[in-house]
Amino acid sequence: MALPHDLLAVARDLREKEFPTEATLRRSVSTAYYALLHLLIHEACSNWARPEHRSNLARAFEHKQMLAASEKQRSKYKDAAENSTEKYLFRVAQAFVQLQQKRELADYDYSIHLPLDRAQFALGQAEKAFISREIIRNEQITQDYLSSLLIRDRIAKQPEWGG
Amino acid sequence: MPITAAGFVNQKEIMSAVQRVESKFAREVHHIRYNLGENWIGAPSIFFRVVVRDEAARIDLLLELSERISISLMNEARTDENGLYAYFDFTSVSEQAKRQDPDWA
Repeated sequence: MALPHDLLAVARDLREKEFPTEATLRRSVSTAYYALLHLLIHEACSNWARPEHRSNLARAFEHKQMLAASEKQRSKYKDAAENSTEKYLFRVAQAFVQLQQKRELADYDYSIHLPLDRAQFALGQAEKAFISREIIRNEQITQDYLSSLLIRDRIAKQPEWGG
Repeated sequence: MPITAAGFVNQKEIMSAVQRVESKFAREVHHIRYNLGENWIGAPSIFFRVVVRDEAARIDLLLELSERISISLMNEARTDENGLYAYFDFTSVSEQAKRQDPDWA
């Protein structure tokens, strides 16, 4: 699927404009978030065996649940060893959490000024997340993360049996 | 004193945590500012603004450095334990000098 990578390219084009305006930089940050969002949704949906159902499944993802799932991963793996699978997953989750908040500001908050360096940093975070995800795409914890983006963890604790 | 899902947030502890991270990264970091607020879903959050020295501000260096600083701030300020979503933004000394943004000063 080309959409996530195309979106990332659009974000890059917007940021690299010769005379970027506040509007182009805001669109760049917002698009960088959507590039990562669609990458994760696409990867999660590709696990669904029937391709004809995947586009409907993709509509079931919610930003809020994706935030909760990503926050859990970044908290769990922030101290993972360098170059470990867990550290790469941390980078993906961290980028998602950060970019989602930046997207909100870029799209809706008139009170902030978004300069070039901060737009460039946001784009860099998205690019790094794409690379990290590619490195760990077939790992079990990556697949577990992808499913958690859609499905809430319902196993809160072991039942307490009386007696 | 702000209240989060985890209870009260001790601002003195957070300030000390920030100072420890500033010291740890003194070669790269000029200063760190923060504020408590809510993220886009209305959850208690802390927003860190890190001003790095110009030598550390090249984008490839900054991406690597930002990860180390972010993790250090999360651990020192115990953002998870305090029930806070942690957000980070970065700029350089020279960019801040141009913009004179009071939130980053």
